[in-house]
Amino acid sequence: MRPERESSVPHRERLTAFTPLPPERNGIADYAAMLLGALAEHYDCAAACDDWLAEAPPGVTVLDPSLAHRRAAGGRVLHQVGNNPGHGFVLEALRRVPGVTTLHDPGLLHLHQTTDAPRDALLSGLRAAPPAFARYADQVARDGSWRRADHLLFPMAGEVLSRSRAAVVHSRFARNRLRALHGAAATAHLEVIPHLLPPLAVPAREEARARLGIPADAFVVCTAGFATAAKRFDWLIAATALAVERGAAALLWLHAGAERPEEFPLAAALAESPALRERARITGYLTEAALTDHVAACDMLVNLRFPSGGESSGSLARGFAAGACCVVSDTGAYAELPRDAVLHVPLAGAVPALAEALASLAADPARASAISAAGRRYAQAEMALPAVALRYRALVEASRDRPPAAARARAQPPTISLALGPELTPRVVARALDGATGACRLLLAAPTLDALADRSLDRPALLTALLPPWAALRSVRVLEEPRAGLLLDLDAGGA
Amino acid sequence: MTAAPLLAALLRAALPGLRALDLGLPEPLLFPWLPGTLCGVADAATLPPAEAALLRRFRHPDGRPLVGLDRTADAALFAAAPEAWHEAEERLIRCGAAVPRHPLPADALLLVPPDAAHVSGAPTSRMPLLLGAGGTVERHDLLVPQPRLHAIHTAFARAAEALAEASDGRWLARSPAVSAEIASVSLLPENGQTCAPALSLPADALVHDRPASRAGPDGLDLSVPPHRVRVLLGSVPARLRITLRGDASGAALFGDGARLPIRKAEGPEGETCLEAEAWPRSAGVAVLGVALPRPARAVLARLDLLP
Repeated sequence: MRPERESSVPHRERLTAFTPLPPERNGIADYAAMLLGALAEHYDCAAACDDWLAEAPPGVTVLDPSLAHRRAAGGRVLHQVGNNPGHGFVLEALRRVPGVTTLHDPGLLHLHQTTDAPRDALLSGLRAAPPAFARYADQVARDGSWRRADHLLFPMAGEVLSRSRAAVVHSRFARNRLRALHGAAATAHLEVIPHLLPPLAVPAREEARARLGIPADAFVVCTAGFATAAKRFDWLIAATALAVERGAAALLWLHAGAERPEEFPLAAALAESPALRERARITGYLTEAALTDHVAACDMLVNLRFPSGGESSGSLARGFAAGACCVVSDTGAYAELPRDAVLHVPLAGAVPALAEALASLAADPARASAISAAGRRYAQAEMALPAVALRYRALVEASRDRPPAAARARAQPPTISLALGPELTPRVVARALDGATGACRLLLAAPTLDALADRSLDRPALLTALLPPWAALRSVRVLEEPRAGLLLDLDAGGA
Repeated sequence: MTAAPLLAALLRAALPGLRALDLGLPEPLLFPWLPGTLCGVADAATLPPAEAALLRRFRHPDGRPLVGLDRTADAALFAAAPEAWHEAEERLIRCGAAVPRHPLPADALLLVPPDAAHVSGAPTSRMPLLLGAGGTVERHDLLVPQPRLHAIHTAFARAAEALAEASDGRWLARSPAVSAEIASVSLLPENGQTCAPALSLPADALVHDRPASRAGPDGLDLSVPPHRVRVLLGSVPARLRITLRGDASGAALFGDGARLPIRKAEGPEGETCLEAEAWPRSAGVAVLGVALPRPARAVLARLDLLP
């Protein structure tokens, strides 16, 4: 979709956004605040936020989300969904008030797990799993427990996709991943809108360093945000130690953000590294201004990810805005970034490659500057906030009258009937139920009641074996007329 | 302007042992003016899902949900079980424009729009109540089982006379018995004034959405997260006042979800009063929100609806 240069629809129509806002410690809250500030040029904006006392940009009203549907009725609606419990109220709102949804994280298993989703609802999310993952889905359904890898295998984005008039992701990778997992039809309404460039007042590097007490001649590496396991601090610690060995004596590392020791014990890992013990510092959670200072003070912003679920990085956008030389993993959404705008680190051999990058850029600041300048030019061209806001506006207007897929699917098919015999397999049942959403009926038919009894005895745990894990069994009846069989009331999820 | 306060005063005076159920949400009439009135909806199926979800949050002071949203919780009420009606001597159900889905207790008085029939279709006597509010006259019909019309009419007539007498002649009461099936009561202002008293509700009389924090003798404790509460108002008052005890700095009021401009006044004994004016109505029942910033250490003591 091509962004419009000027608004061609009446100004000041109402837009209601359901989103966290600052001071919530959530990058999506910061994103939403910036986006709404720009959308306020085009709409009469309100933000429905679980924190009624949240800080909204000028001209944006904060609403109680439980009452915001009254304002949103018949108007424009925007949802900001991320994979953390702070977005539970947004998911709830999306179920009642459809709109355009930004999927900041293509995987939402953690969101569903932490917002008291019933077990059946979680299992129904497994139905989108490709056949290759079916046995893992069966294992989850049997054990009732989730593993770390399940967050990548089962994105649980089907409900959000089906309830949205349109959906936004920040990269082609995220779109393609969702398309592969949910199918072309379910993702036809996905739009790629890059992450926005924060409109920061970025201080000069020298000024920021003076405020932070950082020597002017230091080569400062910065990481930012919550210190999670996927950000591969283990690789960065090893690579930085190697780079110091190779002569990057002036190297300092600032982690501008908070630790999550339960995910990765960064402070402990740094303390164990003789090369880094005195060179690295964790700042803890920072205010907006302090975070900007730290990123502005650095020579290099390192933003690694493995494994990647397709997420984009607010920290990276901040690095572009601050004119830092950005280093990223060559995977996921980051692989889409122009080769001259960032430095890509391969996944295989990441540590030596990163060590080489650190050492060479520390020795050649001009090269680091060239990369950072190219990164800033790219970001200003592709991620500028006014342009991003126009793209959102175009999508909101284009999708206004598009009913969500969940609403279109509400007319239920008649009872699905299958003959209960040796040829009836779980795959046949799953294929028959494909396309059914919510409450549905399945009749496993037999010629007579005696035949039904015989066939049931021949196959112990018949229903457990036949039904896919995402179809919740609500009730069973034995029918004699008009056809003998087992009549199953199911919830196929996805409604 | 509305005759709801006058109607409530008349019902209180005429039927002292009355317990009422107002099924007229989002346009209540008796709630909150008649103390102890239960409120609810006639037909939850007609509500938008988001509005139904909002109303399901609320609980009456005795802990039960709004009527019409939980069939199990309502069963005893509609079966006329005495304990569901708090052993009240007299039961009254107010029906708005929407027809209730449930069969109603046969012996309950029904307050209905003008000329509306009994929901069961059964023949009843009718007692039009004509109540003045400013320059208009509101009519509400009380449907009474035929054998009781005379007794009920007499009680209402005496109550209207008493209210008129207490008003030093500013209100005129008339109670003609038109026929064996119809007898009316009117209470009309002499000079077009409205009966608009203030209504003061202690926290333990409020319908709100903090069921885990039922109000104690000191009020509704907002120091427990999430440091906020939604209070069902019914209709938007001309003015309102919230009284908080404790540290109320940063407290905010919300009318139908949107922040209200407030005036703050310090009261005696560590009380802080927040006042707000009426706000534009939204579709749906009026809801007042009260929120405090973390860490909150305050108790909501009282809500005053002011003329």
